[in-house]
Amino acid sequence: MLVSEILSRDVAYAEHWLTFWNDLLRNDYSGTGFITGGRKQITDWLYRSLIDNKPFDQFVRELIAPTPESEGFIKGIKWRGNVNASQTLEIQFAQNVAQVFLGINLKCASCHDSFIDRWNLGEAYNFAAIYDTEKTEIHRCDKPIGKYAEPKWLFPELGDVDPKAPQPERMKQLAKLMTHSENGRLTRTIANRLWHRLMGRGIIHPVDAMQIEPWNADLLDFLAADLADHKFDIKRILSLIVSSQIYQGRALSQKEEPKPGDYTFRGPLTKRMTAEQFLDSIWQITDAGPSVPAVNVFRGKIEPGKTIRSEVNGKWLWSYPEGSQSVPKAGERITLRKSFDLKERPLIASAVITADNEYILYVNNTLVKADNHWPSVEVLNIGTLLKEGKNYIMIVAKNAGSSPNAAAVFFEARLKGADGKETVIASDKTWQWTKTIPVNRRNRASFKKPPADWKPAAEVKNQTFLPGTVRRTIMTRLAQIHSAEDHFVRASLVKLDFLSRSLGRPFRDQVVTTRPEELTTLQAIDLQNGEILNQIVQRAGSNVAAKQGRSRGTLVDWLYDYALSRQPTKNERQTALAILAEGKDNQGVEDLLWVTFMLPEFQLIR
Amino acid sequence: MNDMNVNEQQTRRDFVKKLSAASMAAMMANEPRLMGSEKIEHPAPTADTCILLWMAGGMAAPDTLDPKRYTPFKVGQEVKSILSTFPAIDTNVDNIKLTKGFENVAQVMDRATLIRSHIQADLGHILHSRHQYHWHTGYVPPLTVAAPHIGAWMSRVLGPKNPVIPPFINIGQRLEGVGEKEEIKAFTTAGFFGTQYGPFNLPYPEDAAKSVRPPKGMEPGRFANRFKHYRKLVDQSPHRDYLSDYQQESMIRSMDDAHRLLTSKHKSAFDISLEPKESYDKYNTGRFGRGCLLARRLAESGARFIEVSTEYIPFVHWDTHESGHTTVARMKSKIDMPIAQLIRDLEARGLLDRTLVVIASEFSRDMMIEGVPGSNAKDQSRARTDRLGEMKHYGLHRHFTGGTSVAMFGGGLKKGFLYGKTADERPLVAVENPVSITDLHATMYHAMGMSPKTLFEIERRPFYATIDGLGQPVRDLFA
Repeated sequence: MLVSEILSRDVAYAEHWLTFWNDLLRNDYSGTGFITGGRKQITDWLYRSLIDNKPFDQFVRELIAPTPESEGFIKGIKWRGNVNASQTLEIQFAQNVAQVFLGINLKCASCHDSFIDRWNLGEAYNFAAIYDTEKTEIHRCDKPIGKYAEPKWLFPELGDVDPKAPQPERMKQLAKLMTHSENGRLTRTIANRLWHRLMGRGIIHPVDAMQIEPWNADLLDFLAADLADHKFDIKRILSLIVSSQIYQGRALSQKEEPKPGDYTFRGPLTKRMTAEQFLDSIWQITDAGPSVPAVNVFRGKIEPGKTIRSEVNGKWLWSYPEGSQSVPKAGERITLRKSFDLKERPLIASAVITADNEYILYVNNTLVKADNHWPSVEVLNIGTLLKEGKNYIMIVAKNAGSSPNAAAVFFEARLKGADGKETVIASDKTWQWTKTIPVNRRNRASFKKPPADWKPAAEVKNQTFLPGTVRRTIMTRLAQIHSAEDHFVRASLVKLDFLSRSLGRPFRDQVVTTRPEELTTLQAIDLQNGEILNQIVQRAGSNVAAKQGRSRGTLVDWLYDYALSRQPTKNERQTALAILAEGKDNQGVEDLLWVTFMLPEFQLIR
Repeated sequence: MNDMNVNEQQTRRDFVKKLSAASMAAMMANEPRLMGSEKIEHPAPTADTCILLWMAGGMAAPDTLDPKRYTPFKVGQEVKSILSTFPAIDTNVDNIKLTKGFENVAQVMDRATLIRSHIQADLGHILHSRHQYHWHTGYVPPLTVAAPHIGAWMSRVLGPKNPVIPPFINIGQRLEGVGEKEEIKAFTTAGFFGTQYGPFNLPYPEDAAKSVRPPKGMEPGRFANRFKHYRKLVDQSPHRDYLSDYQQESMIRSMDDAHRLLTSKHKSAFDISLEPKESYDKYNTGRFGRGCLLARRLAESGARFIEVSTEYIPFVHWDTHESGHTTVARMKSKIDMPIAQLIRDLEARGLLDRTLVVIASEFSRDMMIEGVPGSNAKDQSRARTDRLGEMKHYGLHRHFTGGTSVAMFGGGLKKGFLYGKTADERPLVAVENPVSITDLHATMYHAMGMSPKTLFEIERRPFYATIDGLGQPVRDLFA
């Protein structure tokens, strides 16, 4: 069946739904807080969870009682300086967890007893106190009231946390309560969110006010119960909704939100493409998208077996082997390099790198990454920086500490050509080193005077400095790049830019559950003369012209089929052909592509 | 994109008949709404346009608009004895002195209301972007919902003055390629109002014309033609008439509106190269100066709110962590002439009475005190010393939130009027008529004809133009 076939494409599924979850879990690749380390991404964890279709109860437990990979969600965003009592990290935790998983708005109640629902100040603070490692004094409208919060869960009928237990223990208890088999609020909230995403409007609407009466309680209960009864399988519930006759029926347009209680369900609503869907669509049609994602996630499923089979080719290098001289001094810096020839630019090139203690990696003198947290071991895409002919990998490595200690660099890259052949470039004795350190100006490395003293690098054989965990991480990472495929880069993996912002992708400072459905005038200006879209259309023009250049008629038919899933009418065909006939070079193609992308028929999902 | 059943639906024409353009503009499924429970009474406006001249990075009041005892540079001078590093100068108003370097602004002070007692919140550790967020939205981050910029409030509540010109225009601040850019972006938005009310960003005034021109490399003829073809294919689409689709109509309308600006005669306002040379030269002191010129042209064409920033870049411009005196002298040479010229030009065109011009900054600076007296804020000076050793030490290098100056011109305010005061000796805190950010915003909104109690419902909670609707316009400032 088509639905299950589509849902089984793991990478596509993960990268499509990543947008929804990033909005919901406030996860992004740039934004406020990162500059001062007051915020942490959960991208890798989220990506893995989606690609593995992690059962939703486990997913929630891992977010609430997190590992270092998933802790970014409950940690909130910390700004330096004093913050309002209703925006401390504990309160952010309470607000976000209640909103995302339970559809409860604790934002009112974190200042004063809520005027709009049953939650009061004490309950909000008690819930926040589960996360707090110290005693929290309750503040009403930013003023202390002399009472202290007691860790307490919102629905005591399901049990409660032990207020005396240490914080990590309380988080585990909360995770358990949240995913308790009788906590129907969790399953109803997520079922409602997914229904909203697919149908354009929630069974309870707005989706963050779960205390409102649903327009069909049986339907919502059915979906929620089905989710719980089938191991919290999100793909199953999606499949259930999408396979329904309702979803496949015609879409309606809703001009304004009906008054509470006035809504009658008549079918799914017309939805505007998200910024990510719009970009994915035009990139897919024209091959004009970015070649590298902004996020260094491994874009595939990690099969546990593969880790073990992976072979490690890289050696740990420094300028001289241990024993020959004293151990490297604290703060000692060296430059290592490797040159190699390529017959053609590889399709995929991923590198695994780390250094005890710090490194700066340049490929053909362009900065790729600087890192000083060596146990993390990075996977980097270096494909776009390599070229036909001679290539250089250059690493500036630095030892840390306060007295002489071991220092070493590890690098291994796998390059895949169009013919499927693999080349390995790994740190070994063919590398060279010099004491001279290049200058980094605007992310380009240059030497004031090219060093003339390149000497062979030495292998560090005594690896007592190397913890087993790092060794294992390297093996996992190598396994990842080994099975890397060339996936089309999706917009969900790209940093927020002006175009996607003007198409409605939010800053993810706050939890976002609904995006604007309308195209605004400012957005329309961007679509008509914005530089980013203009460049995409220009690239698209030459790509499409090269591919489809056989005849204008074929091009028009192909475009209507690919972009609009139908054949053009006679009149449309005539107009399209007239557009193609105008201008020089690929201008006609560019203009026809632009016009097609701007059609409401293209941008609205019905 | 499901296929639709062609026959059974209302045709577009029926649909359009039933809808007035006004109702289409206002309605949106998830849009925040004006709350109905409380009656908002908007005051009669005394201004139709607001121009904010933003001194980004913390302009030291004692070295600019609020002169104190002057101590010239001398090696060995005790730092704690220094209040101002510029001598005072006269202005054309007897009781208003400014500092050296503001000779041109001094000659338009008879059109100004000068507040010397603007105070900022003590937020602990000073982070410019956070104070700027507070100043531009009235709210301190982090927040539970994204707060709209004051320009977005005016754009949302008052609407465009000229339907072709974007109501909220932001000049001079880059949002990419500068430090703390993510933090700057966070308040340079319409927040929960949605992008319709957001800023039209013009970081480089000399490139503003480009932002309303066809895209790079496209002849105007081709641009117009492309749009004509687009409209034709929209009309030829079998989907055109078959669906009573509000979203489709709204999408086409926005595309039309955008195209109208991009082809209208008003877009020449964006092109500062069209300004006569003599006039252009008066503004041509740098990006900020040219930004003032662009602001004037856009105000003439009917923009609602315009911000011109000296641009915030950490440790650059007004963000003087060292060499304060030298830097401030240079900054004055960039802003003195264009500001004075802007006021004169607006006046000569008969626009000043209905245009509110505000010069403000996120806080002041002091030689000694970080934050306010007694604050636990970390000292961020990069030229710490007890006695002056070199020019680098000479200047106000600490962020001071206890009292600063705001100059306002036109827009129905008093002329040649001085309001509030700071102490004559350190700490230079506001000692008379303190004006908070909340009340200053209320004053600006009041002049523009917008109640500071204006509120919208978002996530079923009220969100006010000034925090909790408590902003009080400073009535004494109005003529």
